[in-house]
Amino acid sequence: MQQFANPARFLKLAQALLLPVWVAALVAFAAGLYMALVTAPPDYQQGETVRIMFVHVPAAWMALMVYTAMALASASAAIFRHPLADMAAKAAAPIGAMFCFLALVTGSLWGKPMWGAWWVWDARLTSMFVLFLLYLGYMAVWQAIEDPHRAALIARIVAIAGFINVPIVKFSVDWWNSLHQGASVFRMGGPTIDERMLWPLLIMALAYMLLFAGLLLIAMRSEITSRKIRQLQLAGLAGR
Amino acid sequence: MDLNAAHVAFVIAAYLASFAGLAALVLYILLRDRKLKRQVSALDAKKDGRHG
Repeated sequence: MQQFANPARFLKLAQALLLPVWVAALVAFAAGLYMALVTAPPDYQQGETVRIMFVHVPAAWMALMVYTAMALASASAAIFRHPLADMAAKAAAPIGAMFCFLALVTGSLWGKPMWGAWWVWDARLTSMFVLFLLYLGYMAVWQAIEDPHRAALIARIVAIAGFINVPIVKFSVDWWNSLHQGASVFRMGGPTIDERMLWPLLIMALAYMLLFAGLLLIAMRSEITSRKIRQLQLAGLAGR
Repeated sequence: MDLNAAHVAFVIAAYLASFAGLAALVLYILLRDRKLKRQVSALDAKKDGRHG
C-alpha cells in the first residue's frame, strides 16, 4: 500500500481504473435489476414486497463495509502515517452515509406493509440509525474544524471508536429479540435463501460495491485537488 | 413482477428512492470534482502568470 502513498501515482492508477470500474458497475446494475425485477420469483409469504430486499440489503451491507473501511483507513493513518489514508476515509464518508440512509429508507418502505409500521425502535434498526449518526458526526468533524491536521486526528478517533457499532449492527438480531429477520446469507452453515433470490442479491451487491469503488476514486481525486488548492492558496498568501 | 399485486407501490417507491439517492450522490461527487479542478487550474494559471 505504501507505493500508492504518492498522490501522483495514485491519480495515475485511479485514471486507469475509472473507466473499467464504471463499465463493470453499469453491467452489474443492468443484470442485477433485470434479475431482481423480472426473473426472481415473489416470496411465498412476502409476495412482491420481497423485491425491496434487492436494494435494501446491498445498501445495508455497503453501509457496514464502508464504515469498516473508514475505521481501517483511520487506523492505518494513525499507525503507519499513510498520507492517503485520511483522505480515503474522508472521501468514503458521504458515500457510506448515503448507503446507510438508503438502507433506512428502503427498510422503512418494507416495514410498513410487512410489520404495519414505518419504524420501530428495534435493536437492528436503532443500531443502524446510530451508524447513520456516526457518519454524520464524522463528516461534521471535517466541516467544523478548520485545521486539517486537528480535524484528521479527531475524525480518526470518531471512526475508530464508532467501529464498535458495526458488530452491534451485525449481531443485534442474535443478541436481542428483534423484529428484523436474522442473517440468511452470511451465516454459519451457508445461505438459507433460495438460489433464484440469492443470485440477484449478490449481483446487486456487486453493483453497489463497484459504484462505491468508482465514486471513491473520484472523491479521493477531489480530496487531493482540494489539498493542492489549500497549498496554492497558502503559498499565494505567503508570496504577498 | 406483478404490477397488480398488493403493496407493489412500496416496491416501486423503494427502487425510485434508491435510484434518486444514488443519482444525487453521483452528481454531488462529479460536480464537486469538476468545481475543484476548475479552481486548481485557475490558481495554477494565476501562479504561472505571477512567475512568468
